Amino acid sequence: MAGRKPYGQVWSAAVFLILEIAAILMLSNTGTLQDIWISRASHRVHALIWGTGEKVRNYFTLGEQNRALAAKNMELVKTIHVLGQRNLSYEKGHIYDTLTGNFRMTPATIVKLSRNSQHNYIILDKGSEDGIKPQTGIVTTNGVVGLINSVGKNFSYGITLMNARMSVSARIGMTGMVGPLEWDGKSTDGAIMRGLPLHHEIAPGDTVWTSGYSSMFPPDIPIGITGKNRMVDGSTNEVSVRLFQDFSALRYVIITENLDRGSIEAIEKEAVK
Amino acid sequence: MKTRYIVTYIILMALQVIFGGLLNLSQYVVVCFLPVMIMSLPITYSTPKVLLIAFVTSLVVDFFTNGVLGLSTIALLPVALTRNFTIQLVFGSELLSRKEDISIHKQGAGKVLLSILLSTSLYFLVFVPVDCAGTRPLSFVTLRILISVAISTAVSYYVAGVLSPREADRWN
Repeated sequence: MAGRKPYGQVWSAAVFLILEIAAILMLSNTGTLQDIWISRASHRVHALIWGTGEKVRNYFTLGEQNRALAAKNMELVKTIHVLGQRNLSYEKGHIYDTLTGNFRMTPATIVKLSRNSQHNYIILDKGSEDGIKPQTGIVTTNGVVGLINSVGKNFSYGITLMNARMSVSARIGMTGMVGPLEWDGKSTDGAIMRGLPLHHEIAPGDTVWTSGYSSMFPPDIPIGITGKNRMVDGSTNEVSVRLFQDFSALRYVIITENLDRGSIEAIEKEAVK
Repeated sequence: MKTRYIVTYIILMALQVIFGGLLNLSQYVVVCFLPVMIMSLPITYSTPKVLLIAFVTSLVVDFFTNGVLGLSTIALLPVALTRNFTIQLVFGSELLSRKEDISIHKQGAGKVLLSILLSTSLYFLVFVPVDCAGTRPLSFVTLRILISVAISTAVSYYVAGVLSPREADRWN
């Protein structure tokens, strides 16, 4: 029997395929539903074939993609290296900030910080050998910490904002009222702005910034946000401020020195005369 | 092929047109005995020849039944292709070696019925989904296949009796 021979089987399969394809073509021409159905199935098969082809192509282009990723990785490594070097110089030396005035900034680590009295103080690991001078500011990116009072060879001593004798010139909003900001004497993240004129309305939630009027602190460092305000003695307002910098979570600070301070003080002295 | 067989075959085709086109019993029931007509073709016929006969037969039936050419063809061609395999599976290889045609008298009703069941099932497994063309739920398709196979197998058994060769008038 021809069908049982190998070539007979191939021949049978070929005839079957030809006739089946002819039947499918006839069916798609004469049956509307079947035409839609066959088209849909055909699209599905195409999608499967193309999808598989795409996967295979992607697989074989993995090497190229890996090379591109390696190049990108190298660029990132370079960037990290550059940033790392900048950080290193930040650690060892100073950063000069000309955007917020002629300030020299020196990073320092807190050696000691008291928080449990009305006259709290701070000791930093930078001294005169690091170029630190008295009457310079201590800040963080979250606000004002205090000011340097005296400087040793390797360490410096200062008072913090949690000290009844310390006040900072602050501004409510970027263009709002300016007044002294002092510690509220109770919490590690609370302060009060006093002596504010009555005719200005103070909205709770406004940001409080350094005013820049002080020669120790650069302007526009965010300090905290305003809370409730109240009238004092019928003549001024005072507003509570929630500080961004919590003194109970402080480790690293920046010492800010106004390089123009000498000139400013000279002009002041001249004017007094 | 004897004239009587050809006439019988043509009459059965006409009957299939009547069953398929004119007698709409239910949407769940399709009566078709084309598979048994293909299975009953002389065993000496080669598979390509059987395929061609199946192709022409189903086209004629489609043309007179519903005008959708190729609907029965798509389902009947696999039956024609697997005919020898089904025969070998049900009746053994001896039938093919002896080139003996399928006969209820010789092979027995059980085996013939089984071969009819297999070929009819294969036919409806293709025919019903293609006929529904994705417009009916699977439950409907399944039920339609089962009912159609059951009824068509019963009808096909009698058709096989008609086409079955007798001892007196063997084909060769």
